Amino acid sequence: MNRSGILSLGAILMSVCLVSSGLLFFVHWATKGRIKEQEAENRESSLRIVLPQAVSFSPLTAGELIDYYVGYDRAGRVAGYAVSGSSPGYSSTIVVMAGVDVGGVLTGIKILEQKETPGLGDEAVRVHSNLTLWDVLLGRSAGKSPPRRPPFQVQFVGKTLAQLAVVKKPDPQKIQAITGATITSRAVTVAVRQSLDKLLRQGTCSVGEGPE
Amino acid sequence: MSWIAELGKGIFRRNPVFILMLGLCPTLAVTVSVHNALGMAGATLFVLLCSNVLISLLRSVIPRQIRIPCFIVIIATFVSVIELLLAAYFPEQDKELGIYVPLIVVNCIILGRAEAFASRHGVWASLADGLGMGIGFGAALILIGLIRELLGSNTVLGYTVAPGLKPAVIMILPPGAFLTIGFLMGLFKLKRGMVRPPSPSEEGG
Repeated sequence: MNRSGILSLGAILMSVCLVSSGLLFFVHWATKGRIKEQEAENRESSLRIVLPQAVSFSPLTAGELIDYYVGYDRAGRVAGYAVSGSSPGYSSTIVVMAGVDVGGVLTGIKILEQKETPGLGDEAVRVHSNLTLWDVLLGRSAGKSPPRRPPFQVQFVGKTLAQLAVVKKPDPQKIQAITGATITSRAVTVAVRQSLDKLLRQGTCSVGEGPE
Repeated sequence: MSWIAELGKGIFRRNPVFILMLGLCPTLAVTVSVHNALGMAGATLFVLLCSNVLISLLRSVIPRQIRIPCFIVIIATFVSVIELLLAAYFPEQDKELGIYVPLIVVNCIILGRAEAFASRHGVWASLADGLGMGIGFGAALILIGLIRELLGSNTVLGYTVAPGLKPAVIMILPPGAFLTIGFLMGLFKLKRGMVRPPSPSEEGG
């Protein structure tokens, strides 16, 4: 092939690339705001789950580059703190956000990111509807309200740092592992512990030592 | 071939998953539930339609020697577009489908249809081909997703089917995907063999 042939092929390929980057630029520009909003909404709803007692939140950056949030109640007093932490699970890094009240008792956790085995590890984020398919098809769903939060995560509410240990038998004072997913259960618990440790090191609250 | 026939062939007679055996990677990976299958089916249909139409329109402009890089650029562009749209408007699907959306770029159904069909036929035929293949791929995903979710989680679209029954978790793990797809391919082959012998003249994808 001669030189001008190669050049014209290059020019055509380049114009295809230019047009496609122009299109991408436009779509990126058009969706940027919405994606930012989604992220903010996501963060806000996570904060509401882990700190149900707070009505407003403000982000803080403490000395050693950790981000945490302070939640305030209706009267404007500090109601609790939320902080995120992570730990390697069975097949992914699990990122959780944990909320504590000023006395250091957990008020809720939320798993922000995970890619654990479907059906085993990801039970940590599953909410099982108590409706059966037949209820829905036959219109018998009225009056039955499905649970809102994954049962595994609900266990953490009301626990203190000292109670964050994973056991296999049901124990109201400990965290019960998900059947067949002990590694995931431990990883979530470790991530929660680590986030509490971070708060403790900041000296913002007296984690695990009862009310101030 | 009329364009209604183009539309119909992708759904059954030349179903991309069960007959052409294309795009098996996303098929195996995302079909753990009907919900995920629907998300993937929608995203792939969108990319397939857009790329088929655009490539058909540009078929006289793009020189033969550089057609593959041009196709890839066009397909990758549409995949990036759907990725951004999912993140902006369907954040839940975006989270569930995760890395499988970018992988649509290398889904061989899309490049296969671009090369075997859209680059050689008119816009309307290519549109019908993309629609048929997209629906055929989606229907296969949903069927596999339905079987795997039903057996592996004892649910359909998240609703329990038989309360109190313990599901066979293996069906939502990778082996379950291979089992399901194998049995379904076998069924398709059996049905095809009984209906008529495969004609060798048809184009591959």
